[in-house]
Amino acid sequence: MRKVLVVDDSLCTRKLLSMMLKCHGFTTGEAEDGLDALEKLGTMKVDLVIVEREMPNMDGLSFVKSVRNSFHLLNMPVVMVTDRVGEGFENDALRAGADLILAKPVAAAALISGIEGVLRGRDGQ
Amino acid sequence: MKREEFTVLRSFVYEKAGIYFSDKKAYLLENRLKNRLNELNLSSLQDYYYYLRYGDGAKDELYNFFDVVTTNETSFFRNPAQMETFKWILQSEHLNGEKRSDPLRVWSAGCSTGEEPYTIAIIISEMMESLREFRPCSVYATDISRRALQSAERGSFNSYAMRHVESRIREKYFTRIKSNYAVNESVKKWVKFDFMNLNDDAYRRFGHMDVVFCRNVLIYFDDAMRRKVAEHMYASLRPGGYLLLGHSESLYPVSKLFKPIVLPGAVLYQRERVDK
Amino acid sequence: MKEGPPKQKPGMKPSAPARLERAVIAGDALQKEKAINAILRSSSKSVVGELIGLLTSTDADVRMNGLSLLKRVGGRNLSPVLDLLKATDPWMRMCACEIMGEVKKKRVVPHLITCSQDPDPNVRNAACIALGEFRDAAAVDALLAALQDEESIAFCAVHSLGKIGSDRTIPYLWKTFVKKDGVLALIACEVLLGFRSQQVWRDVFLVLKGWSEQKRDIFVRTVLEKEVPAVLDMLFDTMVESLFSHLARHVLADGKWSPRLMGLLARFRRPETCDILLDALRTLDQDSEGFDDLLDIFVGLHEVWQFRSEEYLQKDPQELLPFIRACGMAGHKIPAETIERLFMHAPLAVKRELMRQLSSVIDGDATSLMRKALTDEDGHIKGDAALAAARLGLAGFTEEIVNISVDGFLDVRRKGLQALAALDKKRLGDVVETLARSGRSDDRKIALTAVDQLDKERTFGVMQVLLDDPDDSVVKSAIHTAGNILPRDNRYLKALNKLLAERPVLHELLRVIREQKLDAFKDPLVKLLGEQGDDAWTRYQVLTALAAFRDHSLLNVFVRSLQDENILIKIGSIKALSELADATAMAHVKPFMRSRDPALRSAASAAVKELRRLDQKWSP
Repeated sequence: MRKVLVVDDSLCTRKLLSMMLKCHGFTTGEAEDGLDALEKLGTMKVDLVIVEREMPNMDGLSFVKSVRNSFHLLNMPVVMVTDRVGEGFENDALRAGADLILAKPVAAAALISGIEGVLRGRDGQ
Repeated sequence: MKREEFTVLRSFVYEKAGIYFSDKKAYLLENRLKNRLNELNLSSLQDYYYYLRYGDGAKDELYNFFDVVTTNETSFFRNPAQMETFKWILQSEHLNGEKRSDPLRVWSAGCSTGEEPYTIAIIISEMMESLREFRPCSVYATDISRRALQSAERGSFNSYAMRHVESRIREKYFTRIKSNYAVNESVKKWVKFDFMNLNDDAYRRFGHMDVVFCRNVLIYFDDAMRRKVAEHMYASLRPGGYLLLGHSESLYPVSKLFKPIVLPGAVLYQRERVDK
Repeated sequence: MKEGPPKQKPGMKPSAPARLERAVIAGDALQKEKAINAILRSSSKSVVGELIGLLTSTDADVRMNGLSLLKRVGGRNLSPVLDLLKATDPWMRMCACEIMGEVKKKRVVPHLITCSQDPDPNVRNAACIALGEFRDAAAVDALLAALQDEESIAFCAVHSLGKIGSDRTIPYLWKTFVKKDGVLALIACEVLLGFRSQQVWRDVFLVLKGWSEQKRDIFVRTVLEKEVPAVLDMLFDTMVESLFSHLARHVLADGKWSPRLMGLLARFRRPETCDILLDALRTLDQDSEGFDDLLDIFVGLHEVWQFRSEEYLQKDPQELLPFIRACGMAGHKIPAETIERLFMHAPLAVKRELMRQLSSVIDGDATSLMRKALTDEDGHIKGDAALAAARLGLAGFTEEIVNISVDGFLDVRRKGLQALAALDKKRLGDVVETLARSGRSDDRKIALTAVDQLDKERTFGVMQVLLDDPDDSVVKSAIHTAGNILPRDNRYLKALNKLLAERPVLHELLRVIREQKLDAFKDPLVKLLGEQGDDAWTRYQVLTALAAFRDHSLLNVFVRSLQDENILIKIGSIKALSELADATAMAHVKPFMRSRDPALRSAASAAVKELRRLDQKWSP
């Protein structure tokens, strides 16, 4: 049973993403910002993190950087979602270490196939 | 126990020590105080409250009260993952090339009967040996229970408290006396014990700490008090200093002052460094 | 940083956004927090415009902290917020929607409705989320229209409709539930169950029941997750047997053994339920909060697992504690050979549990087991074995039990004596008398725990000695014991009387007098009250003891002591008066309700309340 941590400051968005994932056989956990997410990663066993780019207290980019800097978490697959595409935002995210970046609003099919792709890629290594 | 009795006592202990008993924990308070009531020949918790306010043994009894209300399960090298985390801190400080001659300052808040601060001192000692670098350290150990502090200062432990200690460490740092183990002077000299009520402003005398251990202390407090203690801990740490909470304790959503660092089996909190 | 005389030109505040930016990002985390709190506490309206300026920052921290603050203070000055709606960057319009959602002022609703038709999908999304904060017919209409939008937006619309909870939206939500797929149907289902109508719930569950098990799984588990008792009841009643597989899967998935869900599971009286419960118990520590509740549930299923007990006992001994305890609670018998085998190989905690439950569960001859247990090195095992021997009426172990009673941990010794009391009273007498003469005060105190089990004369003999013991702590314990024996044998009054003359007064004595309401001591206590030499606390205890008599003739005594200058004595007197059920007491107590001291005031109010209550009880 694969577990995904959904990180977004909007309750409704968290619910949407969680439900999409649950409908496809994942279990989920939730966090409201980067700090909350890092803390939860310390105690939850998680296979992948979906993180929104724009959040208070610690935004998505800083979160990804922290993850990649952490010896313990550095291989954690991270998918970033954002409502601000273009303007080099995508490059920022990938350079910081995100595996994939998806534009909001995210359709269920795109989300699931994106996640499966990332996980498959990791398994192959 | 009557509702009003519980409420009055609950406010009292909150006022004195910041410790908060939720409604669910009412039975816990009642159970723990049964012995005190018996010993003082009191018929009700209300009388116990009056004793704490007006009785002539009130001051001493308050300490007994703290003892009874904060009993903790503790042992040496408890929670290996967290001890590894502490070693990680020491190693990364060393690897960062921060060769410092000033003493390493560690604060063990809620040290109870001493297992934690002595464990810390031993780990530091071992690490200095393996890194071939001598750096003095000061371990400040505080607690609200005088009885626990007295026991800690004696530094003698039974085999149950020692159950997680490997024999090599036991032989090196302890002396066996009958069925107990006494901490050697070489360890004891680094540790200073003192009374501290985290509800008061006494924490102010601790500053520029490199690491603060605050394990199984926040569990006694409500959110408002936790926030206050988190602020105190932040102020006591030097920039870049670390805070270690108990296993499965979390700071969020109570306080977002610290940045979490994830290590295997443990979460560490750091006060941000100054470089901007 | 001094800036010279303030210039009065409007809008000329020197670099206000920069100052704000500094507060929001400069300084360490603690300073930042304090700066933010200062902004929140102030009532400045201009700060809204300044914060909006931060939204264009390239620093994500600044942007997001600015937005967070705007959500909390935006209501102070709406016009710059509404101006954001004209921005070309959709993200700015999104921010405006988020802020308006927090502002909760009705006049933003028309703007949000407009945003729900914005060309950018993320803006429409934000508008739908924000509209959920308003109980407004136009808002509801806009959300209903959004149900036709793309999936993510329709999702937020459904969620918001759920928050508003207007009954007229039910038919639309119903349509979404039955006609749509995936997350839309799921959120519609969840939201429908949030309405109060049980008819709606039943209809939803009937639909679910008609689906395949695979299709309905996620829906049922979403319902289970919310754990609303009335909803769960209806779910069970409607789906009956078909609920089990979903429930089992849900409970096993995350390992969160919620008592409510486990209770629901237990309604399915099947072997699989027992297995799941036992698995859950194995992962919990016996002192943890849910353990006892789960154990009770498991015990309640005894008739289901009683024939599988042998199978359970074959499992890893490390994990047997819960099962053994359950057997004890249910009175379920285990063959003696099995218990003996377990005792030889089990870890300490399990061995202890076996002893605790032994008398309730053993089926067969306990002799050889008892021999081993009574000489085990663990005190708990020995003590509980002794008690078990007593309950089972096993003779022939007197020597071992006597050994347990004479040395070791106090608690264990006490159990030994207790067991001896049931098995061999004469031998108990010998042991107690020996202990009472011992040089160690611990021994003498232990003797007191069993002395009342002897015959009257033997008891009296021992008690006389111990009431006069040189060690104060022994005397105190002896007084407790005397208090217990007194009802049967009032010779102890003389010894207690003698003790009352000693100073300082032993509070144990006052306690016995209070608990047994010993009339003989009434007058001596009144005399004691008058003695100023004693400390206030002792006098308070004397008052409490006198109060227990509920004797009207003491009214004047209490009225007199009410005049004492010490607050504690006043409080004690008030309490004593409140126990008297005498209307005249009211007049004396009432004035203290206006005292300056809060403890005195509250004691007085409580007393008045009590007196009124007692008065009503006795009036015709």
